Amino acid sequence: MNRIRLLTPWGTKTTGRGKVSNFPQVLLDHPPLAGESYRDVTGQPSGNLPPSPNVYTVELVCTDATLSALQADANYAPGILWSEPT
Amino acid sequence: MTMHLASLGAGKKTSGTTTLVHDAFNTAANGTVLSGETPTTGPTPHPVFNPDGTGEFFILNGTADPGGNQFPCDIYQSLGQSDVTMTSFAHWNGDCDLTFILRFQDVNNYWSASYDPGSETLYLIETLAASNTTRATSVASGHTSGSYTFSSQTSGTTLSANMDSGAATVSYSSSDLQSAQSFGIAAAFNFGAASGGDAFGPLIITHP
Repeated sequence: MNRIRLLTPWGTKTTGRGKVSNFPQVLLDHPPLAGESYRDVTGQPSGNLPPSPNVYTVELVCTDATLSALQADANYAPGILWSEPT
Repeated sequence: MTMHLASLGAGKKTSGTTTLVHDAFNTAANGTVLSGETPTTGPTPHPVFNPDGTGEFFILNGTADPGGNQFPCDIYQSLGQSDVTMTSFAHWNGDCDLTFILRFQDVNNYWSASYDPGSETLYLIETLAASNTTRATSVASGHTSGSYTFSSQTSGTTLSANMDSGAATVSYSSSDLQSAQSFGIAAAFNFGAASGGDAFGPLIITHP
């Protein structure tokens, strides 16, 4: 497994109880696999998400396969701040 | 685990821990307390999101009430503490989300920890000024069905939730709604074959 921080825009997803939630776009494009996790490390107020630039920082714990996929994705590779094996 | 939880009572202090709520979900839709069930102690839950406002109808004898497609939620108001541990257990055969409502201020401002057995995903979501933001997620493996303990904890600025002793965990730090002292439980039902046999309970809320 790897721990990485990267930049991603906000997207939206319908999660439990049918609520539409602000959601990291990177997880919509690369749905998390078993054992993977995400957390917001920017802490932007949810009622005041700046629309421009629509970007914030997340931390992922992910498999080697997901890390490789992100490094090969032109939308996210430039925004990978760091990664380390866990 | 179930026997241990059922032995606790509201207001009872055990090893520095005070039980604020022990809801055995033993009340029928018409208000009848089901005979032979473990008594419920603590404050009466307030049905915040229940579409028909009939009260604690959504879990009967620990089994989902097959009353239609509903998004019920019971809130235990003003528990006197903002730092609590919530514990329940679930037996899933279907795809019924189980949600703990954390630090509830009103229907537009609260936190929620929700497990979706269909996607095996645990979500920690902040609802502030009616805007929902997923702050953390974690995906489990092999947890689409079966019986598991679900718990959450609020402690200072830290909110966390845990599914099956760490199969999925989420954690986030925020001072938003930190002083709110109401908590609750909710479920997203899609009754019929998809959710047949889903069962939850009892719910224990303790401090700290």
